Amino acid sequence: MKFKQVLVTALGAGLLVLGGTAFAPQSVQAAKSYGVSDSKPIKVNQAKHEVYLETTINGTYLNQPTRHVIVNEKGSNGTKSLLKTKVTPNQFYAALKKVGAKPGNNLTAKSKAGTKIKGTKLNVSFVINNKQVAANKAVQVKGKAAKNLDFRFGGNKAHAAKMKTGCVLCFDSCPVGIASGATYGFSYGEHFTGKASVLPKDGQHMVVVVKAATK
Amino acid sequence: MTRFRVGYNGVLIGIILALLAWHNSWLQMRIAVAWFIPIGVLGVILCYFYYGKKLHQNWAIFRFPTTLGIFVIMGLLLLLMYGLNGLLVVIGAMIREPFNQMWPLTQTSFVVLALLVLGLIIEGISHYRHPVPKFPKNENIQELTSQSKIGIVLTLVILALCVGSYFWIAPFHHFVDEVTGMLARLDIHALRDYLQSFGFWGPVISALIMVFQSVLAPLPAFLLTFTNAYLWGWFWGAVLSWSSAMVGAIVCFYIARGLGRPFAEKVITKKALHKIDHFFDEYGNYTVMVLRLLPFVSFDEVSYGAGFTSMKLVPFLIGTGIGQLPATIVYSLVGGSLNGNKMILFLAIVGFMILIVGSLVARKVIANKQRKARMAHDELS
Repeated sequence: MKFKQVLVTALGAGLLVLGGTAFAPQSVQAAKSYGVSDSKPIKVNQAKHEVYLETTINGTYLNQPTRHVIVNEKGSNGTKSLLKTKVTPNQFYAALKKVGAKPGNNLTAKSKAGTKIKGTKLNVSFVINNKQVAANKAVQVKGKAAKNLDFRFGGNKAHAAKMKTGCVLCFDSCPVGIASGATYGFSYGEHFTGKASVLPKDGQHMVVVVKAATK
Repeated sequence: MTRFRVGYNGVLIGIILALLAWHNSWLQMRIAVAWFIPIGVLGVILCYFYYGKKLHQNWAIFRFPTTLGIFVIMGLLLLLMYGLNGLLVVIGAMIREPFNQMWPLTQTSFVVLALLVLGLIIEGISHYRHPVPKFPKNENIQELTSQSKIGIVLTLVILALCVGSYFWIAPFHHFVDEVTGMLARLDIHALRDYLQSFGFWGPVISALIMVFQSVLAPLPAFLLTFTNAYLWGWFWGAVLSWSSAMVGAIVCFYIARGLGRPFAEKVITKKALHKIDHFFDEYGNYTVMVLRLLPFVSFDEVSYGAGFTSMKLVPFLIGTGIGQLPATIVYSLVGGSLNGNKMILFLAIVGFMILIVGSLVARKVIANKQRKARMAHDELS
């Protein structure tokens, strides 16, 4: 009986500590100046051909590898990305169309490994300490610095809706993500890790700026 | 306290399984690996009731020394795999993932580790005050081979879980379909590319496929032996094929033992069982080794067959290990020659011819021996 009491006390103490830390305050960065918030996580600036997304850092991938940059938190890959967001793939697709980007739609699940995504070029940067930092400066590939990730508006609207992964932006060419990087071909794998020295800490908010290179 | 002991070991083993699974990024990207924790708990409970309470096997009653050993050895292994910082991140991430929460990673890990250490201390104190006695050895092995209701139920539950996983877990479904297709088509290039795509984990996946094909008797194993040698050279390919075939043989052996003879008859037919019975009567402990040496006898049938005889596991493993060695080496030499090595090709051809001639001679000798035995039996009657 004594052991049961000890066990129950220990479990209770553990849950209390866990519950207490769960409500620790998390900083909000620059969201207001870009016009995004929890209730309005995406904003389109047609004049600048830019889309702003509010995201949250998932610290797991400041240490472990992934292939997902931004994923909707309710998607099946919602916990597998460097950045979580409330923005849905559909909303992001519509926003990119509004700023004049054209989808590539050249990849399917049956495409040959190494095939590169096409579509309008997108310059992706993270707002850190009120400064825009290019996405490739905040990421390592297989432990080495990334050069240019060459993000493209892949499209994949129908496939994304069917798969329900929630994928918004992927590091390597992807037949599901609305946008993905063309430098690394399809099926490149999980080799991308966020730089802890550059990105905010786990649980903090960060604005992502996606600029369509339209002419 | 027994409930706590079994439950704690279940959670501990489940967490270890989940952390090992996380290290495979392919798997980690597709499922919440924390689901390995309830699977671990279920597995430990089943082991305790069947192997511990029913069959009186000491490893399955999870005494404190066993638990401490698992904790220390696996803890060190995980530290080597992830490093301290990585392990703290991964434990926290694994726990918060199924809840879709943003609990602080390191603090979450510390809570989990503190609870695990506390559980271990409670177990240690309990063991010191009221030690769990070991079961005496010399259990009658015959008990293992009789039809046991618990054995049937447990084995059927595990098999049903495997079958259910095929329908409910999409990645498992794709894995089974893909592997079955490649083995059935004898597509060595597809199998090579598939194993290569797993990188560091390729040999582990190869071993899993070998176990999978062992359980499903109609699928050919030699293709996998060829591929292993093709990818990792004939020597290491042979080592991998030999050791994974041993694991496959153990799985079949225990499935048959768990189900009992009436069930096994339905799986591998009465005729095949009578054939195996006959060999067992004639050759005693050497039966498995003799049968493994003969390429015309199914590897899986022998494993299943041995499972419901009175044979113990160690002689079964020794017979299987020695018996499958020649064929494994020859097939690996063939596989190793596929990348253009002429010397290995020559050795493979010579080895293959020796294997065929040897098996034909062995078949003839066995047939003569059986005929003489029948004649002697007829004369006596």
